[in-house]
Amino acid sequence: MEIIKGVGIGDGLAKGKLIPLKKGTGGSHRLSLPDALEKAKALLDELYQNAKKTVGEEKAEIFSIRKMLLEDEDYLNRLDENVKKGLSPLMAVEEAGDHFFRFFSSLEDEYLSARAFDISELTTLLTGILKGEGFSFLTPTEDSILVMEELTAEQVFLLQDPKITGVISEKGNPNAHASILAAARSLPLLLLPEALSLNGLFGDAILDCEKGSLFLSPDEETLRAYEEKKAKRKIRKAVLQKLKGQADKTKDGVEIKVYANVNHPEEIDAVMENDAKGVGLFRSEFLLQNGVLPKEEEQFLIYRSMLEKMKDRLLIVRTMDFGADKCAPFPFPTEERNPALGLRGIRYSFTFPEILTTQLRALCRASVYGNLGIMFPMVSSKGELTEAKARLQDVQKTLRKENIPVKEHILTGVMIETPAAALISDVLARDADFFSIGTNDLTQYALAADRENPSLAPFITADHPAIMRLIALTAENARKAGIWAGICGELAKDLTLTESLIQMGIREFSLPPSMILPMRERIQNTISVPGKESYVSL
Amino acid sequence: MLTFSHTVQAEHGLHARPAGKLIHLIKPLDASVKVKNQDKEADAMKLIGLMGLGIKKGDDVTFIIDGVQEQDALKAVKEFCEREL
Repeated sequence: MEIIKGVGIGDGLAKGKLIPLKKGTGGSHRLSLPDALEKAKALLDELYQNAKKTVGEEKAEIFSIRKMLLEDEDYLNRLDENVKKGLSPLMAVEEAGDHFFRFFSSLEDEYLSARAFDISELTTLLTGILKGEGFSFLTPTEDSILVMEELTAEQVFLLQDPKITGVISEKGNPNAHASILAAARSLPLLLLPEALSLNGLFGDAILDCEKGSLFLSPDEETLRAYEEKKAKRKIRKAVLQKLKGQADKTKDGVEIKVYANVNHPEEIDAVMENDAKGVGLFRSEFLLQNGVLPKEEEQFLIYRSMLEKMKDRLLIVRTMDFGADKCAPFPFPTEERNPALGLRGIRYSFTFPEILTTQLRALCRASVYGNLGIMFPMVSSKGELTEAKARLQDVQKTLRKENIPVKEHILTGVMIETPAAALISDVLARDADFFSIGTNDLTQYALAADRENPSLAPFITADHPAIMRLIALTAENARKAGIWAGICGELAKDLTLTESLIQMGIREFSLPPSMILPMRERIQNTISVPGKESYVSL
Repeated sequence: MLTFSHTVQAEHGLHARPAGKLIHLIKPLDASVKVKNQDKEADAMKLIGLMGLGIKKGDDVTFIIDGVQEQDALKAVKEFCEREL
């Protein structure tokens, strides 16, 4: 038995034969352009049908639109001309892709210019087919774990066959669209570390995403452990399912808000599926795709659809938090000697105000479609909060002048993620409807330890008394001002701290969707008033 | 040859989805349909061209229909405009 370590997406378990998805080697595998087009169309048909079944007709529509683009005469003529000019099929596709990408980008209508993205996706699909990247794995004959160079978002939808139990991707990152979709669809996925290739490997394997491990030719013991874990999961799942629809109340009857953290709009389905009572943090900077931000109209449609799906549940959108480690490359790159202490969060937004204004306009326009909250990242002074709120009010005023309906009062909150913000939380509380403590940054700033630097890992303890004091202070100041304080960082996930945090006055936890029900279970077993043996000594 | 004019009511104008529907409606018919928006004109069978017209709410568009089944095409276009545009 051999064990290979990687990054597991989600906590899925899978067992099956490894099927390496061979890349085209060129030569004999190469397809002609007409064959590639036919194949792409058939594939898009299949994607449409699959997506229609799993995510609904509206979302599936994208694949039929892409197919229509492929059948478009102008597009086909362009390909034809390119081939006649002597370009290879691959070059012909790339040139046409580039041409129509620029055509759509140039259109003034924001929705239409977003079609440029469809064109670039089509180009990727076609060039992939031309290079012989097969899709023959679609109907395996036995339980299989696919090994591929890089899983794409479209392929996540292709993998509908129940015999495909998991996927190993040699490339990819946990924040990529494909990973998010895989997690949302509970497809076990393992991302391999760089420079590790499984090409040429066959045989039985077990994939444990929770451990980030792939067991090749598993021994008896591992097989037994797998079956046991699977059985336990099933029982656990049944227990958690029963909690759906229940309240998030402590034993002594204090209501705690259990909300979800979301990076992509698609995850709202998982939020509702796990019965989260709201979204405590939508990291809207993830809307950035290939360095391009969606324009106002597109953002509006995204927020509106999220709000509509959530019915009357609260959706808290954090304004785009660019800078430091977030989502590089940013729309406007910055030179930083010390990125974590560089231009980021709300300060970045003030420096490039059009990003903030566009987003606030889209948010305010969407506000009438549900229950929206807005929060600002990296606020460290009263002035910054005043300024951010003024920008929001300006946008509301302008929209009203344009006769566009805007909700009267939109909940406005502040991320508490610098020690400064925590220390002046009494002042900030006067102008905020809620606090959300971002413990990841708060920890790195309070302990002066870069969280991206592995050699500092031993020094970063999230339950360090200094962090606990900052949290307690923030919660206390929130309570005094009559607003709520929540936690949306990693610390919220540590269920051993839940009771102490509630006793400090924390009234909201924002967690990944899969943690909602375990948190509900935990809260139902806590008491909100500290006993004599309080866990955390400040 | 028949013509038909319509003021666009749809909030988002003639976008990919409705444009696709229009094509599906006209395709089986033996008729040519052109769409005119101000000085720009496009074949109603061509998705990219249609979208390139940038048809927005409030625009006055004209359909120019010609061919054996022009009556059927006109009916299809009228119905399409009522429902989708």
